[in-house]
Amino acid sequence: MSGEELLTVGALHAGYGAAPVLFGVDLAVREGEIVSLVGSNGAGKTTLLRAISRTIPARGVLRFAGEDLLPLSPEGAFSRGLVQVPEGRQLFGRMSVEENLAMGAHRRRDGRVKASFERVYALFPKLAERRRQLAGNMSGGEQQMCAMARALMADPRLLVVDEMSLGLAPVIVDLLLAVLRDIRAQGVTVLLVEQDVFAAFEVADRAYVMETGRVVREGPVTELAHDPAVRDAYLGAAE
Amino acid sequence: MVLPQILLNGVLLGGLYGLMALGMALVWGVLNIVNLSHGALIMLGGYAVYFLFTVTGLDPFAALPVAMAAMFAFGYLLQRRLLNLVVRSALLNTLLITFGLDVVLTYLAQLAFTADFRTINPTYSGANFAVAGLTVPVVRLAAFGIAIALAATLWFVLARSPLGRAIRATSQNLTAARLYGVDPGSLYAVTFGIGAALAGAAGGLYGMVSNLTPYIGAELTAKSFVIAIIGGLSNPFNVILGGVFVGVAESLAALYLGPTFTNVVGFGLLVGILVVRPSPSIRAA
Repeated sequence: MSGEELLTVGALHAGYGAAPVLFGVDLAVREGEIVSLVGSNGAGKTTLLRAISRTIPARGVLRFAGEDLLPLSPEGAFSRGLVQVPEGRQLFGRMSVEENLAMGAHRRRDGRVKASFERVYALFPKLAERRRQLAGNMSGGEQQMCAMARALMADPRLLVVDEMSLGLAPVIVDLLLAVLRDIRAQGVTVLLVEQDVFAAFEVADRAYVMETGRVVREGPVTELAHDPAVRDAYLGAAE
Repeated sequence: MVLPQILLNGVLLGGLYGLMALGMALVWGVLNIVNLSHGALIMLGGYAVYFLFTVTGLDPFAALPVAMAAMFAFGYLLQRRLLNLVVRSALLNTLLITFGLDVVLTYLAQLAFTADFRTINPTYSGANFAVAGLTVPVVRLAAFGIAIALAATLWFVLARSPLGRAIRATSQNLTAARLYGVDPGSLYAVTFGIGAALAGAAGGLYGMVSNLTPYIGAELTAKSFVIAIIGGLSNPFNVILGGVFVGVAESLAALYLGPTFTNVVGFGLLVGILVVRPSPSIRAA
């Protein structure tokens, strides 16, 4: 099911000013995959995302669909279909759900925006019910749905989801994971960045484990779930 | 019939006051800049219409859109080249830079236009008609109508157009707006341009009902400030309503207390409203 490499990260170094955070990260996401990036607080996940979305300078190899990302601006990366669902959702709280979704399609000039609305409302029927409600007045789970739907409105090739499960009830997380599978089935590749390894491994094909700015383990989640080091560090010893 | 006439005058003048404050409220609400040079922009708009009328012979009402376009361009460049440096910085920075701008514009205007009093005087400037015993001045009625029409246009743009949606989104969450491809620099410039264009329209109308000098800016900034707070920053119609409120209050003060008390009443209202009903009016764009 996985095809060409969509996102290629090679020996990537990045940081803030004089403080390096990433020390030669290698990572690849192939078309049609759900890849998960896990690691504890401070492992460098968010920094890697910032480098990928071109909001901080970086050194190394960074390619998207064969094109060099490094010289691009954040808008440039976005317009090529590399779209983020930011940590903390970052909704427009005093705008309706529908207006939030419309902002996702703000830069689109093709005539298919209406079709995208129907598509995301089919993925998130709850949002269709609440389309006139102010985004800021919804529950955390609904806000996360709204943030993901808004990103889908940008018609992404690669959807990067940062800390999707943070602060949400397990039953909501399960629902969102199911939606990620549906999104992938519609041809959108997904990079899921998570602290919750259980949630991430449930849906991903492959995963990367980061520690202190390096990738320390990688492979199919079926293998990683049985890797003693990963189990001790992230999954707990309980069987 | 003195009181109804005074009330009518107050309402008509108040519409123009509301239009003056509209651009200031927009810029304040979206960019968080309290633009102390707003009155100077009104003054420049007034001179633009004055010269279009006296030099080219264009009817002053027809000159309004031309002046608005010119003021939009001026406001756009001002924001792009200068004010984007301080947008979203500390309030004091924005006050300092716009105060400096006010001084510069005022004295450049004095240099260019001299300190003479000028009035935009089309042939129909004294025309009026009577309704139910009240005298309705044509120019003031037209100014009132234009103020309402521009407020309605602004409301429509903000609430219904993609541009307005992007403006509101950026004022609510800059990070997310950037994430989805909004270029804040140009959006701020367009917003300030709209504010300057509204100031330009207000200036042209002001020049038809009153006198233009290079020094009218400071007082008009103060008046706009009061009305923006009374009307709130979120709804253009409330700003017009705030203007009408101040216009009526000033007219009544002029009638019962004497004309020198009009400004006391305007600012007295501001203090009173902030005491009785603080904050909700100044929150939220």
